[in-house]
Amino acid sequence: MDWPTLIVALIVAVLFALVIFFHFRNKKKGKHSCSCGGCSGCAMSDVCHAKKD
Amino acid sequence: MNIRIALTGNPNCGKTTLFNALTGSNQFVGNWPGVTVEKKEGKMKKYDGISVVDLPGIYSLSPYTPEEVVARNFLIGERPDVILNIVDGTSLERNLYLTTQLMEIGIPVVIAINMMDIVRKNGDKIDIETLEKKIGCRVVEISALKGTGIDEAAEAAIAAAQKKKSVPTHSFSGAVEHALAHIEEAAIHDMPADQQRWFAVKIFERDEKALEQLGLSQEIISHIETDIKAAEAELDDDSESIIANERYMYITGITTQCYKKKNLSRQSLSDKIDKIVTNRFLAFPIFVFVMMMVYVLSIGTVGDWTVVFMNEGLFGSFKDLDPGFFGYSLFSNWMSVPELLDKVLLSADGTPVIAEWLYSLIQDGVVGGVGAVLGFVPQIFVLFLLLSILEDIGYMSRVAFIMDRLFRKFGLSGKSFIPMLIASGCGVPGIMASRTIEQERDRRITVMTTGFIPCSAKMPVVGMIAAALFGGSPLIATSAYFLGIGAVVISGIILKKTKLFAGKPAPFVMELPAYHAPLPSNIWRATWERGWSFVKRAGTVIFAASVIIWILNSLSFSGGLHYITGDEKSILNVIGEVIAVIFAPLGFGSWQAAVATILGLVAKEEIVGVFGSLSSMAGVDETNYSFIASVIFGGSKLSAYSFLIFNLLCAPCFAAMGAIRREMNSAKWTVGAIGYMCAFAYAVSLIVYQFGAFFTTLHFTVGTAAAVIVLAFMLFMLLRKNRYSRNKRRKKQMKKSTGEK
Repeated sequence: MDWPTLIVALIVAVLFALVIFFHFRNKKKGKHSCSCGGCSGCAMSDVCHAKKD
Repeated sequence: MNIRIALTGNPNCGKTTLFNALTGSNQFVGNWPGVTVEKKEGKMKKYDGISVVDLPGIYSLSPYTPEEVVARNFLIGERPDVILNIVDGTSLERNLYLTTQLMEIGIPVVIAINMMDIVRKNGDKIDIETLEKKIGCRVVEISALKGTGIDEAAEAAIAAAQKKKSVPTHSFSGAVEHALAHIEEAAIHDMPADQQRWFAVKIFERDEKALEQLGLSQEIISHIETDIKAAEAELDDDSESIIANERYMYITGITTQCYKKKNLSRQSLSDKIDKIVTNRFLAFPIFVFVMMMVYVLSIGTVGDWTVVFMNEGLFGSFKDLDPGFFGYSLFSNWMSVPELLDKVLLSADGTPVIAEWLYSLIQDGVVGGVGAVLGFVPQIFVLFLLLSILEDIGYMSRVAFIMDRLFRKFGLSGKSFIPMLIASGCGVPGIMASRTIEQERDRRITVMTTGFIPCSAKMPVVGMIAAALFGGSPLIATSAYFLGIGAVVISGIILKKTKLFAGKPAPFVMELPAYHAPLPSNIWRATWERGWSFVKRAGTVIFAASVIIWILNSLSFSGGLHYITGDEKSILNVIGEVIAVIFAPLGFGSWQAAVATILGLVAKEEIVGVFGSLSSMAGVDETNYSFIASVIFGGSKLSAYSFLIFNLLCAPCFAAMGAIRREMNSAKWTVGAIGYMCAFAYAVSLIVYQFGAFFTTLHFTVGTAAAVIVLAFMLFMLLRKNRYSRNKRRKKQMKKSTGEK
């Protein structure tokens, strides 16, 4: 495998891994599992984040 | 200094707007009652150690709904240092009812009269000094919307909290005061003196929650009951009504002295608009027209230009734009995303500097998938902007009122429409908002049907189908919205006639807020947060899904796992063909449509991402919808519309399914809800496609016969008599008791 391919493949792989990692980490924290525009502005955020309180 | 200020007041009196102004928070402000269902806490700006708690709106401290319980429990149980009671100046008399109760809790109270700008505009006058004297606490004028008087209110609240002096309470009539004194002595004399009054009044009212909290012995209750009955006999009314009447008499006494209405009979502008907008016959056509205009502007006029710019320009090639396109001379020299990537990934002779497969992954998989979704960003922003304006000016509250009339006919209350309003942004908070509905049966129906309303993630699918096969007609988006509402109505009728969901709808009391000019900060916040969330999802979930789609569509199992170079079937193709059998009777039996439908469960916009990647991998520009129109749907508008119906009504995304599980709190009910949605979507798509096909070809097939049976079953479920109607049960009982046959 040539160097340009290796570097670009690595970049794509890292981005993919980061997306997956943060998705599951946020889901564990009850964050951003929906598309309501961030928990801070959501009228129902306390329902998901009750433990924090 | 550690002070906790509780913001309390009637629903939709401006608590959250004031909370945002005091704390610099970003809480969602909706111009309809019941937006806040949980308490929210934030630190006050400019002051250290002071926190502000935004409580759900309540009419009194005798709670009926879950959010009212939240507010009461906080005030009584957690006892904040001061209560900042927000009072709507345009409805002073009704708002002061809660104030009289707050004063009995034994916590310092400061009254902030909100909407003073409207009071003055109406030519009305509130004599603040007299009100202060009569009611016995500090009163400040504010306009939370315009940001006036907020600092003064905050300072007054801090000063009251530091003094720790509670407000003197008003006196009831002699008979009531006599009973209250007996109650305090007999039941709650151990309690701190400042808390005795409120509990005494609640015991007098026979408030179940207060009695439960106090856990009084039967002996004490019997003793107290004698005093209560004596007061009831003397005043010839039940204890709860006595207290309510005396409170209102006290309030009327105050308001006649300090509230001067300029013209009692004059109708406000809001009243005049409501005469037309909520008119029995005009309301629904106006609602249809308004929503149509929203979609004409977002998907049509404005959206049309932006989609060409995004899809054919930014993710295609600006050079290939039609010279007649508005702004062509400006954009024609710009470089598109694929062209920019080509500058890096292609050598001078036009061959990739990286491996062919990696070039395909980036350009076909990632740019094709993500670009197809991002192409709809401007449309989404315009749609949210228009919906936010409608919410902020107060029109959407009227829609809830209009829908109440319709919903009530089939046994649901207008309260079920509030979650549906929220669901037009995202289904998850919409489903969660259903917890404001007291009746469990109604709440379950609302949870099951809220997902039918097209959310922001479904809009790109609607836009894509409209652009690919219907020339970008905004009628497709309008029909999608009303299809959702129709599905809710039909499901409501069907479900309410079953034993599981039968019952009378809950009363829906909603105050219609006065119309006001849209507040730019509210509109911007609502539009930006929802729109930006859409962009973030495209860059994360859709990116990851596009990579997976590319991998599955580039590899083949036959003869060992390998990268496809010829005309072999990919893994995705093989899986898709198996699933496609299920959807063939609905008119979209292609493997691509089947795969997109399944992946739509990850996120509904992923349907567009799948089609984008597959188009690009097939060598067709993802922004050119010819692949979708001709290959996936075989050029059939009917198939495409059937596909749209199924994907709008079937199971929502995984996040929304999670919300259903949380709200149903039962695996059985969750499976039932999702199963119902899928079955309903399948039935409607089958009927639409099979009847459409029959009327266009005049061929009666097995599919047509199946559609006839399904339609007959649905009509039977819709039109059959309601065996569980309360009126009918009553009539039966009456007949039995009178011996009538």
